[in-house]
Amino acid sequence: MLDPAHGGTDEGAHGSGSIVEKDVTLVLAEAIRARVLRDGWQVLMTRQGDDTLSFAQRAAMANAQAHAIFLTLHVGSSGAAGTAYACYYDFGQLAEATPPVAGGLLSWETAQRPWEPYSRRLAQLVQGELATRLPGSSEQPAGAPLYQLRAIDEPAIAVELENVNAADEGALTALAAPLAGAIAHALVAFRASYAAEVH
Amino acid sequence: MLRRKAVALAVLAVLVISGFLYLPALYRRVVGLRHMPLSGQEERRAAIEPPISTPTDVPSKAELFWESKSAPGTIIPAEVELKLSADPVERAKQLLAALIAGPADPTERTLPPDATLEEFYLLPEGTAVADFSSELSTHLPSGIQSEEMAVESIAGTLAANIPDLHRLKILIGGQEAETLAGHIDLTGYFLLPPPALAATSVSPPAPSLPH
Ligand SMILES: [Zn+2]
Repeated sequence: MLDPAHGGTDEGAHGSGSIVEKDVTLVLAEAIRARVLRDGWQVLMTRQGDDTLSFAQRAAMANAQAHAIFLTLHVGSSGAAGTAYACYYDFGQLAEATPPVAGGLLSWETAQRPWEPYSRRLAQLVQGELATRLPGSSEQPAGAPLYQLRAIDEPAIAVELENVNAADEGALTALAAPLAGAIAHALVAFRASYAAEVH
Repeated sequence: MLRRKAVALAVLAVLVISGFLYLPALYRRVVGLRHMPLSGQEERRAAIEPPISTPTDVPSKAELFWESKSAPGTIIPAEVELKLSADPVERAKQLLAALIAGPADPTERTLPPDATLEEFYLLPEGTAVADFSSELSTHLPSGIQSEEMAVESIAGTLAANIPDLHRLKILIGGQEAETLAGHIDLTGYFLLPPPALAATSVSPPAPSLPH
């Protein structure tokens, strides 16, 4: 499940020029979709146009797919230009990692918790590929409490490309091919180990 | 009785008249202060010195976390001379005001300059609650990395300079917010010191404060 982040009334980050995050994430997602289809994946996108979608709607679309992997694409406002980083939800950054669950309800908001080790591994694989294809990118993925990933009930990561302050959109969309290549390679590596453990 | 009333009235009248006489002088002083030029050095100190002072303030070496120039996207501690209170709540307000005022190099800042700390609470068992104005959310460059840096700079600065803090809750405009600026989760408590910064501190954990 590919999620071009933001969209519609949520424009995401604005650059110092005319770049708007929601437009770039859609271009990047299309490029990644085309690339990973070649490896035999079934690919769904949360949006293919300029739609306004809540985090919960995106999570519901993702969670409705059995055995899916969720990947959301962002363009940040900081960080060295032309680098990218993969991020998983790091519950370890929060105190009280296990909130009390009342009356046997399962919390929608913490569906990601059991998947954290898988998400971390996927983020590591993606980041390793990014480091070789987008010079200056870190070797290690970032663990961050990214709100959007909390409710995803499957392995889930975000990839953020830096950054919206590029001179023009072309400078960012030129990075779509190496970004897609990195993600495609990492997904193939992830599939082997994940399939053996989970299914 | 009448006599006492007359005396009171006379005293009051004298006070009012002297007040009117003093007013123009006061006005001139205020205007003078407003136009007093600041030297570069004074300007920097004015920017970095927290506007809050308490009787227990002592000049201290504080560790404030801002973005690294050599490794963009990560934050590092900088040692800054600040007058800090022994009272942990006042100390936290002074530290966060200095953090918002920012480093000498504005490209290293992690928080929007017009954000303000509205209130700071210290709950039992080392829980800090920092309530910021809405500018923290609306004027922060949106993004996973930029928001993570903002949270880590707040959490890292508090943990490095105030002992016995274990967790941090960030509120925006007195309310719990889902995210800081669209990405980082504010619904939980952040662990202090932030696990990601454990290895970057330039000095040992904050010393105990005098009681
Ligand atoms: Zn975004």
